[in-house]
Amino acid sequence: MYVNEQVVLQNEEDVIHNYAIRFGVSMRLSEDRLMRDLLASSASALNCVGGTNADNPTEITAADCIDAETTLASADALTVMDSIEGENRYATAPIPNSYFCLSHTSIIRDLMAIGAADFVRTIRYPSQTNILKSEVGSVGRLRFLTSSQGSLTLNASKLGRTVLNNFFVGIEAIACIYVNELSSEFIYLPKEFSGGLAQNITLGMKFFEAPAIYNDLWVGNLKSTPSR
Amino acid sequence: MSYMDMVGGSFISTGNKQIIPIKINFDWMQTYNHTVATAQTVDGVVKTYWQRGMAINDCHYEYFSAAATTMNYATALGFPGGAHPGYIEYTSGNNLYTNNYTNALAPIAFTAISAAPAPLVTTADTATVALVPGDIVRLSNTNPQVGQFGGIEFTVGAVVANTSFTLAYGPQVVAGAGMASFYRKVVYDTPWVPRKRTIAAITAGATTVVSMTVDHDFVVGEQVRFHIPSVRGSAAFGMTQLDNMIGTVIAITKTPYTVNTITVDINSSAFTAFAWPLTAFDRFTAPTVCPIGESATDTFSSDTITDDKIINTATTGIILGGNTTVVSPVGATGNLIYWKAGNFWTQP
Repeated sequence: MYVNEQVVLQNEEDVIHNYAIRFGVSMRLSEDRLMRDLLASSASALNCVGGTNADNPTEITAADCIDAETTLASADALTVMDSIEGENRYATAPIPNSYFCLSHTSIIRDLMAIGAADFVRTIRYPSQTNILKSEVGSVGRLRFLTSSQGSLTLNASKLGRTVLNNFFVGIEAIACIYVNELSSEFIYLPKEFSGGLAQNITLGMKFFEAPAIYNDLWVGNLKSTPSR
Repeated sequence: MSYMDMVGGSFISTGNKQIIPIKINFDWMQTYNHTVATAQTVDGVVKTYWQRGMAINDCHYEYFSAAATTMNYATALGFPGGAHPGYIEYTSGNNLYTNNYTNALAPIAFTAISAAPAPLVTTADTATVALVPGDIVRLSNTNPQVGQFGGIEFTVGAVVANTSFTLAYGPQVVAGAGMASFYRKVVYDTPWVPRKRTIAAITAGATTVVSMTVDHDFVVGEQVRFHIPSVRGSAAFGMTQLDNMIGTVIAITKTPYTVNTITVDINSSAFTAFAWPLTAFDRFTAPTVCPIGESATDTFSSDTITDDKIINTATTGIILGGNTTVVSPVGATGNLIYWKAGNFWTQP
């Protein structure tokens, strides 16, 4: 990023501050994407088979979520989130201790289609205290977190449709490894480094991080296709 | 002058397209055909130039005239007599196609799969995606006859242009005919190495031999975990005893488009036989072999193993077009090509 001296002379701090924020977003986005792509490539796969859209994998169903949960539990994976006890609040339901399921936002429609008996939206949790901003709800012991950066594989189903990669994880299944306790470095070079006329400040960012799978039995890819 | 990045290199042309990974954020690229410049080949392209903003597959050409005494100038897309190859910017990713490599996006129809050990796929079109042995294809809409192949990737074996190609490593199934099915060429294999692979066949014994549908990149000493799923409500693949077992690769056998196996130190003599469903089969998880690390017997200093790492080989760069002639950025077979690429600050 180059900041010309005209900006420097008038409003350096605010502009650099904003660039720093943008670099921070870019860095964390890069970390998420690396982890996402690693899991899509290396995590063991489990196709949804309980749906009715005539594809393979099918759309996600409660039975498929139970299969994923059972896979983790059978491997002695511990849950990530504690249970949320029931309270005397209308239309709410207690939530068991749960694993996470990391999904693309396209899954939301099909989660809703599962039905209220099995899919509990976050607004129906007894307590709103420990809900993550990206969480949409839970099925059994899977709490779904969605992102527009979630993993998709184009043209990968039996019918050539997009496959949604929903990563179900137990605690300490995956991690980011940092080098020598360094996470990231924001680099500022004064204008004197830019050339003979010293016209441009240079801003940059680099980070030292690698995604890792600690235990391949505590993470998996529940593949599904959109219902329509 | 502001600090900018520039990288360069050289290669000997094969006459076909050349993929150039570029490790900087680049805005322009140039190539120089040293062989053509030295020989002053008639119509030979000496220099090409590409800058961000040009159309896909375009570039500037500087080439010798018919008498090889003067230089002519043209664009790749507007070349006299018809378009010639240019530059395509690419970004390899996790098994996704990029819009820049448009040949890969459209599904290509095929009508039959044979019952041969290396199933023969009958299609009237292999030219659109320039299908060659070693390419990876993904099948779709293979119902009803060969539904079990839908969504699965295979390495291509023999190709008969615009007639057929084989799925090099099987598995063997009951034939399907009169199919309204499609294949897509997978342009970029998943960049994370070593790669998880779908199992085509397993031979039981004191040691276990596993064949995969796509060329594998396992090496001796790596550890793998098998996933042999049971199928809900239908016949399974068999050999469910192997599910979730860890094995160390003790041997690999790779004969291009014929054999693609690993041998692991698992005694499967008493296991039930493994077999892909012979006929149409819905809603199942394919059996896979997944890399999980390396055996404790290997040392950190080994150059042939990933030392428990999965390496990201994704790249960005340029695909230089080739048509086996000197009228292209890569020139003819054997031409020496120098190239450089860099970035600049865009001035409004």
